[in-house]
Amino acid sequence: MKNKLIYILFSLLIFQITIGISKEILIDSNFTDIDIYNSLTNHKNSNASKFVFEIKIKNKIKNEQQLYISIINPTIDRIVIYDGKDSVVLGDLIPFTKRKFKHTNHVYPIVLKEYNTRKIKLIVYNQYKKSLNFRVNICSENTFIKTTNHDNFFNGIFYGILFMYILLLICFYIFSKNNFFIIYLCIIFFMMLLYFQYNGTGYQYMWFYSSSAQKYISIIAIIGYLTAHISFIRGFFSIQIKYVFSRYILKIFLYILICIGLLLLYKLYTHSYGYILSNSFYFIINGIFLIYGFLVICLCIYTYIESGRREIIWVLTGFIVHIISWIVFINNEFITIEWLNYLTNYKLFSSNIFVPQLNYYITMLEMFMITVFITINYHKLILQNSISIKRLDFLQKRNINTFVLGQEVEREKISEEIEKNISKDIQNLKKSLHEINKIEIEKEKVSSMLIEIDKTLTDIKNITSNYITPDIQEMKLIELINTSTDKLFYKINTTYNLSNIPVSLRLNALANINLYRILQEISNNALKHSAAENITITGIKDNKSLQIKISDDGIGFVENINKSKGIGLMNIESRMNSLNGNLYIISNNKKGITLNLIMPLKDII
Amino acid sequence: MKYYILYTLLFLWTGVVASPAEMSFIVNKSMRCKPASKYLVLLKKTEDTSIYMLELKNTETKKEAILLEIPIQQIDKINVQQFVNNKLVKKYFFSSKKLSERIYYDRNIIFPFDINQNKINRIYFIFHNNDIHDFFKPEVLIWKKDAKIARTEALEMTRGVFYGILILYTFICFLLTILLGIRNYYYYLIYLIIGIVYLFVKNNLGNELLWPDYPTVDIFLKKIMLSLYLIASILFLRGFLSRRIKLQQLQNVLRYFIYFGLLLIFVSLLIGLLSAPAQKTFIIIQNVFAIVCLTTVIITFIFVYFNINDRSLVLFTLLYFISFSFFLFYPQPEFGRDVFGVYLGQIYTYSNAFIIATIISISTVYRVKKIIKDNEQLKKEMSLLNSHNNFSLIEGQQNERIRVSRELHDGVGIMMSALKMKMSLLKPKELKSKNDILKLTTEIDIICDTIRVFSHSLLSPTLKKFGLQVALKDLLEEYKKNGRSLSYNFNIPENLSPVSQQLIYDLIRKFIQYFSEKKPEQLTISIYIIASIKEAQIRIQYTGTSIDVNNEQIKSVISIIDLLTGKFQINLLNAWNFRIHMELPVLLEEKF
Repeated sequence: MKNKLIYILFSLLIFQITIGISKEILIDSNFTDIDIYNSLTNHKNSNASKFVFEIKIKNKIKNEQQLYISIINPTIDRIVIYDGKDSVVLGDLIPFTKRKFKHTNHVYPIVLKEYNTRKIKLIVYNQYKKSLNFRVNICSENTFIKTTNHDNFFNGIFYGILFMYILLLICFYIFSKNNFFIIYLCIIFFMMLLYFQYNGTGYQYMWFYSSSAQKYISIIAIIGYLTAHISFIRGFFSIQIKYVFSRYILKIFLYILICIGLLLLYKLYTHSYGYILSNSFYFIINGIFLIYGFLVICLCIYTYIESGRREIIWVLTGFIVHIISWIVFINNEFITIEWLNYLTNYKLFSSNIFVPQLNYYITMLEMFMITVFITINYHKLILQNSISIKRLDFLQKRNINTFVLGQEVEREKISEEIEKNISKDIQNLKKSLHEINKIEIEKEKVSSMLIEIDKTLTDIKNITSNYITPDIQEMKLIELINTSTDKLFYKINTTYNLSNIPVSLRLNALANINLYRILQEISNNALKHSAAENITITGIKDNKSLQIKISDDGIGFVENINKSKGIGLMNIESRMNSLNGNLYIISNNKKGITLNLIMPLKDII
Repeated sequence: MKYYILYTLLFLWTGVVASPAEMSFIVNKSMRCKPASKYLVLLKKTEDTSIYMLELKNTETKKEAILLEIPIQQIDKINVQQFVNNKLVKKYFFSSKKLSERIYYDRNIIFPFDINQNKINRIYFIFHNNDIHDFFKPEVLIWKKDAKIARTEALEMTRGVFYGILILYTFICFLLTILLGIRNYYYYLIYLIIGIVYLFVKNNLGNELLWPDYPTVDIFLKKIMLSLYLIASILFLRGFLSRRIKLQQLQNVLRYFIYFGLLLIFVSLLIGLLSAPAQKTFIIIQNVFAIVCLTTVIITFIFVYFNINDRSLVLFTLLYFISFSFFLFYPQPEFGRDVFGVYLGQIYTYSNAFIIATIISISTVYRVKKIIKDNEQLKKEMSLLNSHNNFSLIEGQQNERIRVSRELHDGVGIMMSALKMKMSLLKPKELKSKNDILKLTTEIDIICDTIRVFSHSLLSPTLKKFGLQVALKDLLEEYKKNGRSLSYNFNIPENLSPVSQQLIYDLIRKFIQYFSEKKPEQLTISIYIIASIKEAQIRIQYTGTSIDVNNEQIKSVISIIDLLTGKFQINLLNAWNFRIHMELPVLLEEKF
């Protein structure tokens, strides 16, 4: 009862005060605009329930003047203007569609005849029982249009960045499937709603048909914003913090904060302020936010020390930016602290937007900051890919080299065994046959058999004895090509065309072994399968690559290729791969075949 | 459906082309904004001056205030006079001067008029022929004052949204370019920034926000920015092409485009000193160049689209290019006539920001998804390669064995058989010779046998033809035939790779060779291959003495298992029973 009395007394003393301001304005040819009243510079009187302005405007010039009176706060419910005998009601109680002059702020246009004086009475009703922040501004037509254009363009840029940012978050949610992006999206969405309401563009372009939407949208936005924000923080830290107990404490504390915050907001927006006086609202709300902020900052530091994860720094920075933004934003509604009023009033360019410019800049900063975070992560992904490709390449080469090594080792082993078992027997056979030949009459037959035995021995030699002797690794390229293909001379007419290759050119040891084997394999194949009469070997070297072409006029080799790549060809290919080179086979439809070996110089020298 | 489209087209045609000519522009309550170009009547045209007349009729009961708008790109100086009942009422003179000194603050040229009811209102436009940049007549738009303000607010916001999207997008591109440092990205960044600056200049935003008091700077920038934009777009196109398609001729042609663009910039620098008609010719040349350039870019993109695998990226880039360029070249659709002005043009232009943002986002999602997919694929390939790595040596060895065995069998083996045939054809007369030949034939037989056995020891024909299971059975049954006691069981999956098949076969063969010499009383062999962990477990239990680790066969088994980082254990079960336990990795044939 006692409290109630005090409250009534206070309300009589403070809230029923009417502030009266009278001003005289002279309009000359240089007139641009003038502020009649600004709560931010005059905040001590701003908790009145009614503001009455008596304005006297004098036109000192010959021409007719078009002027605009703007009341800058798109959330005021009721404004009455008495202009001579006419009276006009402005304010949010009238739906936007029914406004005479459609503008984000409440605007009243006046036409002032030459040398004319006009008296206008303007009453602004404070629907809250707290300080009301608004500004009354009179400006000339050109200044009004200029400011309106610039404000809308600025708002547009902000929304554009926001829109692109939301799309970016959606994109990253799609590929990361991380729920934090969705919660963060909710935070951004509700924040956008708040901007929409407080700078008037929401009423102008979205909920223009309904005044109650304009009135209550901010409650929905604030509740949504806080819930999303707290669930983000809770979710984030419940992953980071290991101890279940501390998680519970965090949970309980956050719920308590949510409840108190929501209760206060509810009381504030339904005007049922109870026993709490206007300015206390500001301190309580800010107090809760600061406790919450302090808690989160402590948690961030603690978890960063524990886990050292980089995301925590981003969250911490983002959170500090949010706290600064809240303090400025809430102060714009309550205008309680003088130095904060100064910050709220700070403008880079003159504008009639109700939301402090500082809020715009802070939010844009946050968006750019998080974009940097996302881009760095995207870049990491690309880097990871390129590292994987390099590693894969390395592994492939290593595998090929081991494969080739295996072949060499086995070849050596097998040749020893063949030498021991088969070659010796055949040599003995040859000896015996020679002896028969001395006495035998059918000498022709026996000597042809001897030739065949020789062939067999050469064959065995071909199969086995070609493991690398150390001097091959040291050979110059031309010498290497000649040695590896010299067996062709016995059967086929071979032409070398190597004038393009410098005589002194020497490849590295690995390239020498591989190239020697490749050419040997090709020669073997040519001797065995192609019924070629002529073979041309051409070498071409340019700045970047070495090309060796082997063309013949045979037919047999074509069939061999068609047999789903024989082992010989597979060997050639795998050896070419280990040199980073390519093998091209050009078949001229039974008129011969050309094998083209192309290797990058940097890998073989 | 067909008829419906036909009717719609007919309706549009009658609306666009066949609308009846009206003489006066009607101003009434419902009129908000309307193009008035078609009501302009040419009164007089001399060599120097043109005079146009616009007649307006107010059908309401009181006077109406209107705004008359002319786009600023079209005219430098103009004289406008209003006559009511043939009496001069208002007179305006506009010349490109400081923005703050305009009659009505707007980026275009605006003249406010009051239209009296029931009177003949005529507005005359007088200008020098050199001052108009349009080739026919000035475009005029008539507004109601409140409509103009409401429209400008919405328009400015949309424009702002467009810039906002581009700003954040450019920022992302800037970051990525700096991080990745790829040359192509720099070209793209230059294209994007020059495009935005060009848009900024063309929409008069530069004039309004940055150099409101320097109209000459504005005119000069407007002239060179188009050439710069075209050069940047060709540079971007060249970069885009060079990584995807190698066509030296196309690259050369595009290079000449760039040289020509640079020449145009140089000319525009000179033209400031030249006369007004020269400027007009310059503008015509520049416009033709712009059309040729843009058509080339679009055609090249379409060509690339049909000649490349990465089609979606090309499509997205083309769509983005068209959308961006459309906004650049058609910034004020409200001046356009009928369908292209009011309907399609405005809707498209004002929603362009959203269209571009959507294209950008879809292409980003597409690209990121592709990168992630590639990454996963790479990881799979890497793990496969890693598991292959230990087998490479063995694969190389086996490959060589396959080759030698085949060549021995096909080459040397066949030759020896032929030799034997020839030998049998010899008909010696002496008995000694006969005996000798018989001896030789036996020798050849032995050689052939040796070759066969050797070749088979290198590569078992059963294994090659019927797989590991059959080959092992064959091998073990052969062992059993000699009256030895052996039991075995296998569990071998079908997709065991040939390398592992050969490897296991070789291991078992080596053990069988070993046990053929040692002759244990009882031998049990079990082979299990566990596909999920890619491992083979081989257990050999036998009775007899402890295994001889210095034996050649056993040594080679141990070295193979070591190479594959497998496990080899000998356990003593009791005084007579021993167990060899081996674990080694295997390769399975996988599809990914």
